[in-house]
Amino acid sequence: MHQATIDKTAKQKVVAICGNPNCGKTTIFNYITGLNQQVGNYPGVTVEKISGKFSHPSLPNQSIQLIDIPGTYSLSAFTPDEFIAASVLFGNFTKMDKPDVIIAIIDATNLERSLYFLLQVQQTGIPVVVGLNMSDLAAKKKIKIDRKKLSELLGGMPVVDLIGNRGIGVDELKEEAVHLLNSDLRTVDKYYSHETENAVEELIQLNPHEDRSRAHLLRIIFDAGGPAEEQFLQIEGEAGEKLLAEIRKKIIKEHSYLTHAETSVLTKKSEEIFNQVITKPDVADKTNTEKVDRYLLHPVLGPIILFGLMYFVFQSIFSWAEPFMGIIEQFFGMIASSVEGMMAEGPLRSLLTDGVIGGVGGVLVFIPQIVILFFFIAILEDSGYMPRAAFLVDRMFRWCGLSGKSFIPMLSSFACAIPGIMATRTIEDKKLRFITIMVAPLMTCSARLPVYAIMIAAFVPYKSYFGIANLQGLTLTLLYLLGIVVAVIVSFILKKTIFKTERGTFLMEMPSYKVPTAKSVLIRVYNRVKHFVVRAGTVIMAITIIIWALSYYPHQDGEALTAERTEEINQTIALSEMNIDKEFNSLTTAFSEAQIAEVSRLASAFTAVTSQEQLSSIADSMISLYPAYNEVISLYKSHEFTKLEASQALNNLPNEVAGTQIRSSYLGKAGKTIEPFFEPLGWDWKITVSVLASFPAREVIIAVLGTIYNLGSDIDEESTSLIDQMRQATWEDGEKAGMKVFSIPVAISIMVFFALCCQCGATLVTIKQETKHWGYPIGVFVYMTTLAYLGSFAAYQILTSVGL
Amino acid sequence: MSILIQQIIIGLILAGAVGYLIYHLTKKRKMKKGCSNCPAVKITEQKRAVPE
Repeated sequence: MHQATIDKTAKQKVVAICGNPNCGKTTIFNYITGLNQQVGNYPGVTVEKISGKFSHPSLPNQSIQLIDIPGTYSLSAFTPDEFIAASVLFGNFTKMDKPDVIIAIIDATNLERSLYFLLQVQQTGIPVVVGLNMSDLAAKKKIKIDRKKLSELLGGMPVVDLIGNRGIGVDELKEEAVHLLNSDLRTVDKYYSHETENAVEELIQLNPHEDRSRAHLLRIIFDAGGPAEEQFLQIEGEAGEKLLAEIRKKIIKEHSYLTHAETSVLTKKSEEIFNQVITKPDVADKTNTEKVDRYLLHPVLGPIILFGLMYFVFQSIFSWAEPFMGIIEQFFGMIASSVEGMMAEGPLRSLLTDGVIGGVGGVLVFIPQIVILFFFIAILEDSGYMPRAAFLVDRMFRWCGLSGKSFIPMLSSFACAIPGIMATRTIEDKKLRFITIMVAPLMTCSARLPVYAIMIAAFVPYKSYFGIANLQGLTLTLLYLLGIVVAVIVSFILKKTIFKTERGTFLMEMPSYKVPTAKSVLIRVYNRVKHFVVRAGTVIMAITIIIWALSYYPHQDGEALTAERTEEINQTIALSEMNIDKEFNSLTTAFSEAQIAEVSRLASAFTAVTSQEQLSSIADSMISLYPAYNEVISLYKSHEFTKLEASQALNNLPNEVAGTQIRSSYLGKAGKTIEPFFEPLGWDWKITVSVLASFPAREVIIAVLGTIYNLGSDIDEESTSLIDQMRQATWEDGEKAGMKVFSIPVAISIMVFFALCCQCGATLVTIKQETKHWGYPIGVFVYMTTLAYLGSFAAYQILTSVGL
Repeated sequence: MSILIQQIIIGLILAGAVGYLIYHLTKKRKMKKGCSNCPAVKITEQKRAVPE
């Protein structure tokens, strides 16, 4: 329990305690006030404003109020709650008294970063006492801080050594704070550039009656679009808006970016102070993390290692998963066979075998790939490499002005866009947050992996280059990169057009490297596999059942279709036999008996023929040997040709009937109607409906292709694996009739479409929930679908034109 | 099993599938603790509202 009410008596003094997240501020607050408050381990644990009271003998009959300010790395405020916290420090939060003293807690092991914040706090003009917490840890790391020098460089601020978790130094800190309450030590130093100082002055001149602290004015200047600006404009109106625009223009002219005018100055000053007060161990004593980071965060080596790691992971997915996938495939094959053995033919059996087992089973085959991908992701996350990957990507794309803050949610979107979109809540700048939400679905989520995997395994050859680079792994790496690159380009365009915003400051804590524990890695892999299996058993199964129904009904009777078609074929043969008798007689009227016998002997050679090619070759040789019998041989050839065709048609009858049934289904009719629109992408109607059916959830394409090919093909085929069925699929009609549907350009075209399209209903609903407006999910859906269609079209047309 | 019974069973399964799909697409999603170990998610999970 904490005392949330504030006794606003004239005598009560207010002390605010602030600091970076994880600096141990709350522990010290508890020591001083005696409140038992839980100390969390994560940044931002004290966003709630909590206050307590303490007394001191020098101020009898008085209680001093201590306010716990939420942990922050900077005083920049973009969300209302951050602004409230900052406003308390500025002293312009109307519901509270202005603090008389600020206690700034600093992590002694991370002094340089803490100084940035301290220099901002200094601008409030309120007396500050500095608590150097975790000084025991600093000593262990052989870090020595010259307290006296630090105090001197900070304009005389008292500096106290603390070991917060043992309460050491807390009494001294309290003494210093109370001492400052009775003095008037103000330590404002003007570190900022000439333009910034002029800007502060101009804002004061605009409305001298308004009591705004220097720190507050700096927030108005630098936090473009933030609550400080909003509040300022409400009070100052048009004149304020005009002045603010003018002064920002001047600052940008000098510093390129608005925020640079602050970050560069404060970073430089922090460095200066840091170098003068700190004695750190030699390079030889550097921590292992620092040593490793020298390579992993190296401007050239870092991205190479990152790319190499990505390539290794994706290559492993193909190399290691195959045997396990075969086992799962066999398992589902066995289930399908036993269901077929147990149930009589009918719609229910078809639903179970073609729909559920063929569809959902087809998706579950990819469990080994998911296991491998998340095994590596878990290792990279647990080892502490992931934030570094975000840092490297941020550095690579800094040129286009995209903030590193966007990369953390984007990184999270590699597993699933939904937590990624929710994670954008940490981005204070509203416009930047919306940009990130709009590009997060472009990151390659785990649902895309099965689609890529099946297309790559089926159509990209397993070719090695230079002994290391393999085309399959390389294709997958490029698809992941495609998502990132397009996201960066889209963000850049949005930033320059719809959501004009400044690049924010990117401060990120790099955790130390550690060896991942087997338990943690296994738990993560288990959770992802569970998620994948549950999804296959719920949403994918639901869509598969609907798709099965649409491709099964209206159901034409297979037996009747077979009988009708057999009759047609038999009639064709009978007619041909009738014709041959008649024409043979007319062509051989002038022939002698010996000639007729010879011609008949020659014709008998045709009976052993099994293919059209063989037939043509024999007929041609006969004609060249016996030119006089040309017409009769051609007649026999034509008859045998018809017979061969009929026999092949009879053999292919089950496939033909299944094809007719699926084409006359609701799905087939719809697919044929829209097929022309997707033909420029190289897709037939089956691919088209499969892609369209995957708009609610992208993995569905595999289930739908499985269902369509199972329904539309003979169950006695040699191989029933989806990959083989796709390889054998041919165009049913039109110019390409009889040609293979799938080729490398078609596979790439499908993968590009999946890389760029937002085929996830749940993501769109989450975007609406996060933005509170349907315009955003609609916008995301429209731009991503358009991009996917155009990208897919370009990929197919370019690849076919180069002869692939 | 007669075709009619099979059709009824399929009808029920289909209704269930459509119902589930509508539920899946419209349900309100909450940040699940541990749904990702990304630092950004951790920060979001830990953020609490400031009382007035």
